[in-house]
Amino acid sequence: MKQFRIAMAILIALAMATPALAINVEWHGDFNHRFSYSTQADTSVRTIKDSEKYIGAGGALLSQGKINLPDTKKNKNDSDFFGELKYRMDMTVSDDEKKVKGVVGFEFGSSKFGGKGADFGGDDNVFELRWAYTELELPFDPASRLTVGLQPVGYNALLWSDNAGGVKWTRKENNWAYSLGWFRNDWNTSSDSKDANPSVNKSQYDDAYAADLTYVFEGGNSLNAFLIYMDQGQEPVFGETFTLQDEEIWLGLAGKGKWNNLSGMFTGIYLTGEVEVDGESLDRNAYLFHGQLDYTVGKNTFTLGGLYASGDDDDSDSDVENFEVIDIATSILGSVIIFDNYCDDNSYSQAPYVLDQGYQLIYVGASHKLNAKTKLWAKYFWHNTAEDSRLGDNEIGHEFVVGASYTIMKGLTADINAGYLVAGDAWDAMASDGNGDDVFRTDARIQFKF
Amino acid sequence: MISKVSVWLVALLLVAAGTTSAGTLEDMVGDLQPVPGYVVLPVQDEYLIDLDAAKGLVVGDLFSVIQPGEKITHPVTGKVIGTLDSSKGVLQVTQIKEGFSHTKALTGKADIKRGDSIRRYDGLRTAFWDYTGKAEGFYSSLKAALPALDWQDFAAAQAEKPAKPASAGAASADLFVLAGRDGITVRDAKFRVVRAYPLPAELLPTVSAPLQTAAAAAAAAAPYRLETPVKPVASAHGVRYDIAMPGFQTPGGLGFAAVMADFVRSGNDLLMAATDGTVIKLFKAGDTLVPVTEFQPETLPQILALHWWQPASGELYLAVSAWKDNGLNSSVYHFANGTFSAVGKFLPYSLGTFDRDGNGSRELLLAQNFDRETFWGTIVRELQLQNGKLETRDISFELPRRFTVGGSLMADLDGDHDPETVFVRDGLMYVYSGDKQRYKSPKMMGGSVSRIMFEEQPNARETKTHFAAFEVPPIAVDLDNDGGSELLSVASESSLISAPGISANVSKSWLAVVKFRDGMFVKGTLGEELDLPLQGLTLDQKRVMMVATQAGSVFGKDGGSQLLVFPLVK
Repeated sequence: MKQFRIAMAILIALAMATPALAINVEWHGDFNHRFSYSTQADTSVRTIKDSEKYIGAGGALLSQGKINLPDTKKNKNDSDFFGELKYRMDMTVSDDEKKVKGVVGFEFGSSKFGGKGADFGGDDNVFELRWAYTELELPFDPASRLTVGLQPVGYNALLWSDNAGGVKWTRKENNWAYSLGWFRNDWNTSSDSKDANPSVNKSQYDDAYAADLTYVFEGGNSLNAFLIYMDQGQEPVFGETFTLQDEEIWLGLAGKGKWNNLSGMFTGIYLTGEVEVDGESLDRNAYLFHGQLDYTVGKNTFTLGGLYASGDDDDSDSDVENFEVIDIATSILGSVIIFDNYCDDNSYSQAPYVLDQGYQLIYVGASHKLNAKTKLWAKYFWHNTAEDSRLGDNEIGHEFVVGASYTIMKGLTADINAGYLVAGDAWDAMASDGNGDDVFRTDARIQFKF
Repeated sequence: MISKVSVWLVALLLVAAGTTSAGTLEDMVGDLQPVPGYVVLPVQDEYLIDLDAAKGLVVGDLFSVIQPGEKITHPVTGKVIGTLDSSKGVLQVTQIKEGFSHTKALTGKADIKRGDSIRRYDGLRTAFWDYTGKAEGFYSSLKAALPALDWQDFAAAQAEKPAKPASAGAASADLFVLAGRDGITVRDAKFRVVRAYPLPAELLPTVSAPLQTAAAAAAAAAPYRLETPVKPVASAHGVRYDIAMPGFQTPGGLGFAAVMADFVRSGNDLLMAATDGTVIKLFKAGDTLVPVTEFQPETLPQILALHWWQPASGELYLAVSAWKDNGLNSSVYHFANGTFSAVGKFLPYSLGTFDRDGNGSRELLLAQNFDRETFWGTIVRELQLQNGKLETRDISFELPRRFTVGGSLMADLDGDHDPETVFVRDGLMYVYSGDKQRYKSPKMMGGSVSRIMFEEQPNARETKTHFAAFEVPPIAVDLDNDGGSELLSVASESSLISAPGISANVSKSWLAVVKFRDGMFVKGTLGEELDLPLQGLTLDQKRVMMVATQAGSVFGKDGGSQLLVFPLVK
């Protein structure tokens, strides 16, 4: 807290000094209050994590943490309601022409009403640093920018779109844009240990090297090719029972386009590499495809989309065939029950798969702009895993979603949606009695963004 | 010694003259003080001297090359108390480097050599031309403070001066000091401005003389006068246009809070299209504001800007830049028989229209791509109508990298018959010739409420938030009937600390004037300040027309806009 106060004092002093320094200070914010009710709240607690690895090896499923599948049987007291706040702010200090920017971003929360940071009296430390980076135009090349520090990495939204510390060079010239980046992680945070061996620490860092290339066509359509290589150092996993070393290479192509009333986007990613588990070498060989088309007629938009993430059909062979992301959110899909919704971080899965079983998803939807401020929509999802080796069946279930958004004022919106999952056999398989129940969940939020 | 005496003398003069003229006189005396130095090296046709900007040099400064004369020895002490020097040539600074400067010889070239002693503004024949009729006292003060100059008699200089400030032809002096209603300028023998200063208060025309009287007496074509430059020359700030505001006329309200309005003359009518971000209204703007029609684009985008486009004589189109679903979704409408019909929809560009040929109609429609980081992409194409459909074409002229199709115009400002590109971005006004920057204003230009906040990656878990403003395009008009165009632009004041996603934070607005004069762009103001943002601007039949918007509450209620008009000639 002391550090936070010092940081704030510096920022305020800097802000007050702006006239003398001839710099500009911009504040942006995302003040988000959300509420959720579910008939089975135990399915809303990050069962599948985007930052987690799920590796089938030697007939077992390995991961860093303990895997707790929820009981999809509705039991007594399973239904629950919560309110939560997540406040984000960032300050950008720049010169008049924005050739140099310094950005600091904070998050207060997430804090559930009644929980840490949002109970009676408050007074808890729920402060997180999101961004701390400097971005500058290279003096000898105005088309180039260099970003150094803790920053949003800006790669494909289904692979890596969170924050990371590192250095990224980007360049845009006419129709082309390209970037190179280096970022560092410590997946198992073992290097934080005070008594850890420094030489071991070094080997346990995860270095990610990323490159991407974008071409913007006439009319704004674009193609983006990207390559990310991550060398994850040796990590003890699964309660330190195993030592794991992972080399992953993601090679992807994404595009988006608009042709009169029709717009679309797609992502295709191939994952290769090698995992070493206690000296045994496993080959990674996985892929993901996502596509979506939107057709607009007047005030109505119709959506058709699908996603396929490969799963591992045999955890005892020498292949790891399930797709894995680096760090994402799944709110792009619009599911209420399974993926990230208005209350992100409170979803069944933060990744587009379940464990090492991959995913198959088909969805259709329609939205209607009632007026300039109000939008209504409905969506249907057919959820399946790609493989059935772990749950005995593919079908998670059929989900039906309706929602409404209302713009109260510029930047301030109120949203509500509700989803109902008709349980499938894979959902049943996660129940204590082999017969999972349907789930109803509704989320709402009041969000002020500026 | 002379220098010290001068300083004391100036101090006394300043006290006597009062603070109003102190600034100009003090500045001039400081700038024209003799500064000693040496010729370091002849280089081709130039001479390097051992002085630089740290000694107060500017390009154009003049130096006498000293021809040492007989020593003056004190008859009692025997000490040398001076020399009877003379000038053997004049050097003029052409380039200033760090530690030295380039000069060229105006006279005496054959005699100047390495090691020669030089002194700035020393021994130069100087004429003071007074076009204010009041500057004799100022001349006396200046002459007393700058004794190193060889001043021509005041009365003789006035007798010799041309009726209007102009080159004297054959150099009758090495240096001219001109006091005119535009300010005081110091010029070289070829009449090029070396330095410029605002007119001291005591030399200003009598305040009680109403503008209209002055204007009528001066010239019907110049209904306002060029007044005091605020700062010395090379800073490029300065000329102040002033007009006694006869009070706004208010032809009418628009019925909503307009975020953008644009005007076009169609036959005998001046048409104004305006939008509140949702609805587009069309008015006839005359003595009263007459509604003609209105419509709402069916896809319900957020309209950010609109510009009239006239690709052919008699044809009228409206280019509408709009935002929808995390991207640009613009349209072009044909206006005929009182209705608008779309000829292009779902355009992923920002649109702007321009009059490159200077014929008074905006025949060029430019489309700029959307960049998810900066909003204004670097790809700009021309849109043309082919068989009733819009098609893109490459442009045949250069545009600067920071160019924006919103808040911009193209017009010949320097008289070279090649249009300059002018745009307002992030509070700065830029003037470019091709890709060469000619002028950048201080940060006070624009100030529009038409703005959009957007996320760099809308689907990403973590993404940066940016905003962009669509500024009201400046207009190029010949305010003073001198045959050249001045820029008239919305300017505003806002806090350096802002939350642009919430509001434009405009505390006051006014009209800025930028004029090309004496080889540079100078800035001034026109009219009075308003406490409302200005969202539309034109000049029609000697009337400045602008749309002032009261934003209303954050919920969009109680806002409104008024068309304000004031005539340049009462």
